[in-house]
Amino acid sequence: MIGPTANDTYVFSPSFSDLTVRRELLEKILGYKGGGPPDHAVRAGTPAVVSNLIEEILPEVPSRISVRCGFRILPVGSVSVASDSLSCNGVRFTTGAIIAKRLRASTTLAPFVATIGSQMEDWSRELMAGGDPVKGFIVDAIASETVEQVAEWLEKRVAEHVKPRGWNITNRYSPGYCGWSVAEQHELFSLLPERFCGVSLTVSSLMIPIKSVSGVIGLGPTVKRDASICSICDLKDCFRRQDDPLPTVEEA
Amino acid sequence: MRQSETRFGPYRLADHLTTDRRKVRVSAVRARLRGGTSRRHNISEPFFLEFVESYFYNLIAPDFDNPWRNLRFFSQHEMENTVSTNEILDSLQRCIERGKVNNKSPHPPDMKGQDGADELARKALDTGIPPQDVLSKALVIGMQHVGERFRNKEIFVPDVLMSAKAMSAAMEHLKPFFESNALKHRGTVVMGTVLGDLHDIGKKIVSMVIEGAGWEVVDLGTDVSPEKFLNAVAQHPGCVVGLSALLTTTMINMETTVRHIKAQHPGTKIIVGGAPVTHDFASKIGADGYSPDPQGAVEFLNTRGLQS
Repeated sequence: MIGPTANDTYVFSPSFSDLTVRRELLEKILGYKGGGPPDHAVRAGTPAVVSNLIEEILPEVPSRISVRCGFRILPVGSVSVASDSLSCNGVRFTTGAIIAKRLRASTTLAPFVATIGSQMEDWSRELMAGGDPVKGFIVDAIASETVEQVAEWLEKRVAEHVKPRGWNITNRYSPGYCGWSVAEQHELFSLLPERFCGVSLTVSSLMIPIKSVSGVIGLGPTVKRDASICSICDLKDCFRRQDDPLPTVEEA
Repeated sequence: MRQSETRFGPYRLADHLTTDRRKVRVSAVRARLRGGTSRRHNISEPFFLEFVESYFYNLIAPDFDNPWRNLRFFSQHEMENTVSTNEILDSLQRCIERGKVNNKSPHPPDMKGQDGADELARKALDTGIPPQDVLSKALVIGMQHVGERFRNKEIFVPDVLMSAKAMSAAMEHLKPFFESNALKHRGTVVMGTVLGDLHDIGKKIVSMVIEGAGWEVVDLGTDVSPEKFLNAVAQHPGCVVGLSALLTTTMINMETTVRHIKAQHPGTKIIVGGAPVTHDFASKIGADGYSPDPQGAVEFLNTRGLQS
């Protein structure tokens, strides 16, 4: 049985091999259907040059990331959810109705942060400036997907962590999505230790390193996690939007 | 050999004809050439007529009434050169569209071993094709098609970047002409990601497509203060300003930047873009334009950004 306390924070450093960064998904994120015949009918599939670059970059990723991720389980009873906002430990978030509705049944929340460090973004910037924009862009896309997969991995840890209490988890929700202002990153970070996992915020709420993800996960006996949250999101042109649902924690 | 020179002597048909007479003669030649000649030379009639028309005034015509004799002065070599000019420009445009950088680049696979934008741009200039034609008849058209296909979701960012790389390889050969003012950009665009925002890639992609459309880009980078934008506008009179932001918290800094620029340089055109930016937001903050994609930015520049 886990007994969450105000200081109940957990930090992890998974390795790249713990993550599920799939080539097919990367190709899809880049816009291609993936797995098609190489080039000269660009529409039919991923150009060989792109597939080859992904293959070339992936083995280098482990030596260019410093993964840190963690969460805190807020005290039971510290969270109250209204129709379009919620309060945690006296901090109020205007999350918007979409997120508030999905967190309403939460007994408590787990604010979290995940990062892969700044080496990948530095590498991408060097390539972009050094005359290899294609590789630079693909490095950036792989970095974005890697940090998403760190957050995905962390969700599993949170789920495992609360399972002995008979609790489930919701999907993860982040400021900047579904009507939740990114400006509330500062309030979110106020619930976590200073520079948690090495991530800090700029005045404009940008996380440094840039390749970081933050948010909250709802916890409780009756909350549920949807296979895909794309259907509730208003970012219709999101690069991660998929017709097929993303794999669930259990499936991944 | 330049197009204005000829091996046929110092006479120019145009010098010996009045304007009206020239019209009549050209018309007569065209009428008598129509049909048989184009087939004889195995080239298309529209091309052949254009060819005759463009060369007619610059060549001596010893017998005005016998176009067949005139034609003999157009040697096979001369015709091949003309055909070759169009072929080079077409191939160069194709290299831009397909992202073929040079003959060593493996992409695209079906063009492996062929000359790329690098070699063809050099070849075009060495053949005597004017730099302006290389730019406007091959590079700009190529990048325009790339922008349109990207907008239609037929190709994606890596494809655009491969084309931009090919474009850049070709532009290297045009650099000396820009430096000597023999070739001019359509105008200057000062680009930057606004204060507080460190996102760079989207702005870079737009910048590359804008350069491909014949504009000079001055990239101020990321986290750019209104003061830095003002300095750049002062240094580049008549420039257009492009503002980028990827966060709702930083796009509000666009408003401050627009206000400062409009206060000190009221005539400066400003276009904004970035994931959270909308047309309504652009109008509200006083920007002149908004585009969700690079091609839209090019269209704005080519219509509203040009100096009168």
